[in-house]
Amino acid sequence: MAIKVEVCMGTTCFVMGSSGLQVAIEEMVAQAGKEVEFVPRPCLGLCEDNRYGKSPYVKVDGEVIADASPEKIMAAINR
Amino acid sequence: MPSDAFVEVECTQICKSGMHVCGDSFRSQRIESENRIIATLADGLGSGVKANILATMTATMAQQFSAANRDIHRFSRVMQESLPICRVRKIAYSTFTIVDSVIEEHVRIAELGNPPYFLFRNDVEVPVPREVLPGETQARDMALSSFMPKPNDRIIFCSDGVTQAGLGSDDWRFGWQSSECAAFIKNLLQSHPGISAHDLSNSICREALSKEPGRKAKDDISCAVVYFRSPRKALLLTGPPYNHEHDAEYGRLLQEDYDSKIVAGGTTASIAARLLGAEVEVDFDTASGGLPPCSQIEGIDLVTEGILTLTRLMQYLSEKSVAHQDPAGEMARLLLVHDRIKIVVGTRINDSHQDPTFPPELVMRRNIAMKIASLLRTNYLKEVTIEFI
Repeated sequence: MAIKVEVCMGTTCFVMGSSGLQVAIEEMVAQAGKEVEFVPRPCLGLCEDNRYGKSPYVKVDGEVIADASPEKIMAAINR
Repeated sequence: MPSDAFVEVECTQICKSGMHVCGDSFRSQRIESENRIIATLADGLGSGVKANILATMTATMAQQFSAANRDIHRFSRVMQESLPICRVRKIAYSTFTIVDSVIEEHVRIAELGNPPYFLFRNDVEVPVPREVLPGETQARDMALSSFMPKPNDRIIFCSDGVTQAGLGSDDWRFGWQSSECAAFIKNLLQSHPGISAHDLSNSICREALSKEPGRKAKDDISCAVVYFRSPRKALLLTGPPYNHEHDAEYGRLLQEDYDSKIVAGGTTASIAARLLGAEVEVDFDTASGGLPPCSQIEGIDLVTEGILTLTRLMQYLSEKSVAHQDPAGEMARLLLVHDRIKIVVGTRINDSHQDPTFPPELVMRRNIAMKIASLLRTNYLKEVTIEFI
């Protein structure tokens, strides 16, 4: 079953670089042999939630990744 | 005319071949307090910059005198007496046509030197009798006319670059002429009964240009259309309401009868989707021009990101440049085919937008929305209402 990676495309996350995340990790995902479904979201609503750090936000199978980077997302995928 | 009638005014212009400035000048204005629209087309003597100056001066004078004088006879006398005349050729330095329309009342038209205007009622040309107001010389003779407009009436007026298109060529020795132009318009209205003022004026100018040898305009070609019809209404929602309890207001608005509905903002899209019982699907392929991608929600015609897209929309409307193939360009084009636009702005502040390192326009949704409304009114004569929730 594919791992679901939801990428926030809201204003703050987009400004902070979310639009490039999918392209950045596609090759890493392929090399790792993982089956991943990328789902862009208009807004995950996380920037108003004080429990998390700063944007951009990504969810990997429901797990919130704050200040998302390709390395952090791959680490979550591999967990 | 019904009380909710709308007047669409558009003009298309093609410069004389080799000229960078059109020697014809078009002006239009909406006087809200009088429910009135005035449109003026002037054709300056000669071509290029000199003609443009003459035409612009005449059109501006005509526009202002007409706006100040509800009595068309008085206004006409003032124009006749003050219009500059070439002492050598004894002709006016500029011709003009003024269409003065008070919505729910009559239309008054004054012509001096331009080809006679056409009135089309649906696809039938309707002759309108003129009253000639003689001037000191024939060059100052003005033709006045007046009638009560009906829904789907179109007034089409142009410079002689249209009616004399192709003059001297093998196919059009005497030019396209008014009668052939009228036949073209009739055919077009029969095949496209709902054609907009913009598309009609554009089609007439393109057809005129096609009569010119090598498609090189020997004179400036200008055509304006005043179209009386039922208004097209659009709704633009942006930003979540300040109070969550007012989210339902968005649901109520989205159930109302609008020709197009637009949502700008991720949170706003989530609220709209929840209230409509629909899903939000982001189309990543629509990301372009450095803007976030659009989304799709069943029942909403266009869903974009918020502030970044609206800021770019503001730029495009200010520059009158709406052909861009990105979400803001698409929003601009969709808004501009409507006549009445309601903008509803949610005023809940997104704390993440308050980061001092962000561009200042990101935090000013209210200001951007107000600026967009102003541009739609002044640059495009749209009727715009704006509400804050």
